Amino acid sequence: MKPINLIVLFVFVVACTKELDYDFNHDSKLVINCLFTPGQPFEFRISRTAAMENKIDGSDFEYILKLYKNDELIVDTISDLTNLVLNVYPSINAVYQVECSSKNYLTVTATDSLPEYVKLQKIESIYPIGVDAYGDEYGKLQATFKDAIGVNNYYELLVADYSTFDYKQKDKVLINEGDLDYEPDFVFFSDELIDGEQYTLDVIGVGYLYDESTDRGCLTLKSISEAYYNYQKYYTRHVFNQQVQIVDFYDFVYRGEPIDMYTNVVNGYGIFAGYQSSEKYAE
Amino acid sequence: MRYTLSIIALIASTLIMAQTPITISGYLSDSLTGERLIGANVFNAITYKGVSTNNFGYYVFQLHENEIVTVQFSYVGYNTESCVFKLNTDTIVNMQLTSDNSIEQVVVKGEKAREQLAEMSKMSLNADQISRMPNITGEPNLLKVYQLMPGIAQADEGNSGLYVRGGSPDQNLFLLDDVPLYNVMHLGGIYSVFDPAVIKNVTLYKGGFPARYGGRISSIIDVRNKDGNLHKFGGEVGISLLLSKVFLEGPIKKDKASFVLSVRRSNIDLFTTLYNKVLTKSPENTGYYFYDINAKVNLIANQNNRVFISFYKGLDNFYRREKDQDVGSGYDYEGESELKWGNVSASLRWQHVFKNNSINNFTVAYSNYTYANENHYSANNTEGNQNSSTSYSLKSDIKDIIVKSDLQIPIANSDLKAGIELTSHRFNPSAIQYSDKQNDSVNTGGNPNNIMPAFSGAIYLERVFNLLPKLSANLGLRLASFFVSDTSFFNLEPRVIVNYHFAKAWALKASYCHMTQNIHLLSNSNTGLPSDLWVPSTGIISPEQSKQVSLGITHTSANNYLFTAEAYYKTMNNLIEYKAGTLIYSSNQDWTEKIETEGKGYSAGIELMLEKKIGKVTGWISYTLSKSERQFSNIQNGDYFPFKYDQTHNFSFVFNYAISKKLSASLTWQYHTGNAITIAEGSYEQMVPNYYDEGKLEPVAIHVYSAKNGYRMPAYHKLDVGLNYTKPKPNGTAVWHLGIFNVYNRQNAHYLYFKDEEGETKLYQQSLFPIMFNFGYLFQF
Repeated sequence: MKPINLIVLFVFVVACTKELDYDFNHDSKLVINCLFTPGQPFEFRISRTAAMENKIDGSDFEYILKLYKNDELIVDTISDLTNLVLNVYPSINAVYQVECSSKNYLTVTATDSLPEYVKLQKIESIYPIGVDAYGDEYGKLQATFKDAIGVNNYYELLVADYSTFDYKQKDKVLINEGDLDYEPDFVFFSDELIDGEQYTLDVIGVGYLYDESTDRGCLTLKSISEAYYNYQKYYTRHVFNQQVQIVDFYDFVYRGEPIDMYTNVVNGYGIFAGYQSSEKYAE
Repeated sequence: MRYTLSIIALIASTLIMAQTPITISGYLSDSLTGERLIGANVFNAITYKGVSTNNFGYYVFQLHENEIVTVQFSYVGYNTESCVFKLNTDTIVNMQLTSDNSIEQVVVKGEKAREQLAEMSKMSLNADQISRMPNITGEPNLLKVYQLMPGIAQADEGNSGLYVRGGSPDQNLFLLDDVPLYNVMHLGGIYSVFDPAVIKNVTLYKGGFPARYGGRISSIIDVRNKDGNLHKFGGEVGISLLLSKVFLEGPIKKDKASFVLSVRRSNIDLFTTLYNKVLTKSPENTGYYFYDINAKVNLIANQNNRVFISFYKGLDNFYRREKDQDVGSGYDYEGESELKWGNVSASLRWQHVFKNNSINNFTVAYSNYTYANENHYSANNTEGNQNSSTSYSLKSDIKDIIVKSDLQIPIANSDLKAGIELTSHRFNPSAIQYSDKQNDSVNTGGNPNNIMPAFSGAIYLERVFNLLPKLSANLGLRLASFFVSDTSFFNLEPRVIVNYHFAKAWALKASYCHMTQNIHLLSNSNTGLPSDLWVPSTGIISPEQSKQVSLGITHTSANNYLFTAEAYYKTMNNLIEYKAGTLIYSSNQDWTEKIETEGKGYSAGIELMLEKKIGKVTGWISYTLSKSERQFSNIQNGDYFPFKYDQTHNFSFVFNYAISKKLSASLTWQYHTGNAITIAEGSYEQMVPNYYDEGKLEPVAIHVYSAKNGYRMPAYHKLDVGLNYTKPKPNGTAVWHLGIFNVYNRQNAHYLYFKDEEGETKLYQQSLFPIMFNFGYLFQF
């Protein structure tokens, strides 16, 4: 065989990005944001959706807002405030419905009520329990509570400045949620596996229990409505799969199809949901 | 059921009526290499009626006793041979044809016209035709060539799947020497696993499926590798920036046994390693490589017995490795991520000719497809006596052991084909493993053992009938079965292909095919990188089924322009896909929880193709008008939505020009409608607690999406050109190649994304392949 003479000339110009013109003809709708809890007045944030090419319109506009308690109209107001605070406090065992209308928009409605209060019985912080792959120490928080039997309950655990990112959770309730791979900002769960039980939840992460206002360690367990739970669950998936610029190529490889955000607002978007909180300070 | 019974009765009756005329039989082969020729023609020179060689180059041609007949033997790219026979006993005639070295593609006189054959929606290429195909990488990519034909689409740049008549990539059955392969494209789709130097023949069916094929619902791609030169050693060696390759073939024992060996490896990682390690001295090295190994041994025991042993192994590996040290903390860090996928197949085939000229091919084969994503990171502090590591892996594989037997019984110049196929499957659809290790403490988890055994079987019967002088039909029936856990599925698949040769060079064709598929692919097709989990039909996932009706017309003009028009309508049932937002690597869910099931779909289209196969200028123009939609009860309220790769218009232009005996040029231009995607049309602010700021509510942008796949990406189009210069050398032939890919630097979108800039949300597209040049050298000896 004759020796091979090889000349290779190969020019590879780096792949590039290009801005596209787009006009999606988006049909704008009203958005309601209101998470209500006992002891705090109803606070609404009323806004509108905007086409992607337009900046989200946060400016004030006029709308009519009606609030019903057990089908009885208790508030009927016209406002142009984006953030509207009513002098009405939610009460337990009441069903609230909000209705909002504005010129050129479909009237939107949403309904929810406060879930049962669940007391946070005990908290504990164990720190550190190990060192991660980057040499950083991490610890574990434990929260004990008693779930009410026979009803579907939903919870959110609030710890300020506590990151669960990148730590493999081992708690069966958190694993059962199927959300950990989305790297959620929140710890939320249902009582599917612990109905009626007294349960101690383990949350592994980096951070510490601390409440600036009291200068004490603090943990908050929220008992949340089903709408609130869905809102958190879908939010986690929605944000993870948004069509934003991809920095890590592996994110792109495994990113799923876009997923719509949950809403319980009929004809519009947003969330109208109740919750109750139980705080516990470290001993 | 009534029609099914009719088909059985008709096929069975032919056995009863079978007579024993005088036959000539034997093999057609290449005179230089001894390579057996698939689909070559043996026919009466006066009536032009005859037969074709089968996949092993074997033919049986029946004559009347003492009839004087001039029989011609012909094949595309070879000189035709003639013999006069007057026989009163069965005779063996092994014919060797010499390759035609003219620069033009010439008319194969007496080649059985498409208008005479009871087949449709079929596209065959042999080694000679493949070698003349346009290419920009120095060697033609077989599957890219098919993507330039009507009804077969590519998704976008970098996405390697083949989308046949609105079907998904997993609905294509790729057979390499009778063994199924599960992923046949290398990264980005520039190369396929099929090495053109080794291929002898390939046939693609997109409809009109003969009963001998089954197991997928959209297409069958049957690839046959060369058997090896029985007369002398030869081969080729080539190298370019993209690829290095060696191909060798030759006799083990002259005229009795031969071998083929080819090895290809991509070179891209050599350059990325050079850049990362030497030029930038980066602690991180990202690279990619693939390789293919093909080997085959061909043993001729005697005229009636032949054995083939084939082997293929291929691997793609996309990896990232890093090694670093933090002097301040005293930690050494090491990390490695690999995304690997590849096929291994091996087969032993025994071809036996019985005394009545029936031929049987008995195959025992093994096939294994593996996909693995492995990640490992560690941190060690020797002084502080601290060490920790994490590892995570997702593996998926499917192993098949296949036993099959295919029998051909010659009856009046039309074979009756019957066969049985038994396959033992071993699925491991999603084996996830992770471990955290801190000093002496180790935590592990996942579901590493997810194995699901399954078993499939099929029997078939098929024959071409001449119903009327101008009307013929290929009637067939296939019974497919599948057993998994305590669930079993049985499907009867009738196949009917009718040909009406209504004028000299015109034919009307029609077909009805029922296909079943028991193996499904869960794929996240965002990128060209596969994330393929092959899963079996189970109690909750029924076998995918398609029913396809095709109607077509073919015409061959006097000056040998070939025109084909086909219309089709295909329905699909029991489709699956990932649930919206699902992460395939989630270890918290079983794969069955991640999918939508019982999907439906349909596709309909009109395909036109005008082809010139003869002369200095050859090529084709193809156009497809099509629509493909899907429906799942849990997606978009159960409404139909466009299939992601639904392409309303798909146009290709392929042009080859043999400028001289040494110089040839090629050009391809393709256009198709942009893919259908779901995109954010609007947005709003949602108040979300910020737990890093005492849980204060802050506005976060939430996207409002279009209807499912309701937005079209920009149209795809590009132009490629190639130039080949061939120069004979004393010891072989040198081939110089120049290719320009994407000549006018069209930025075709691979994916779209939004980016906030100065208070505005802008939409961007990411492209992968700009204009590229390739200049390479190949030496054939």
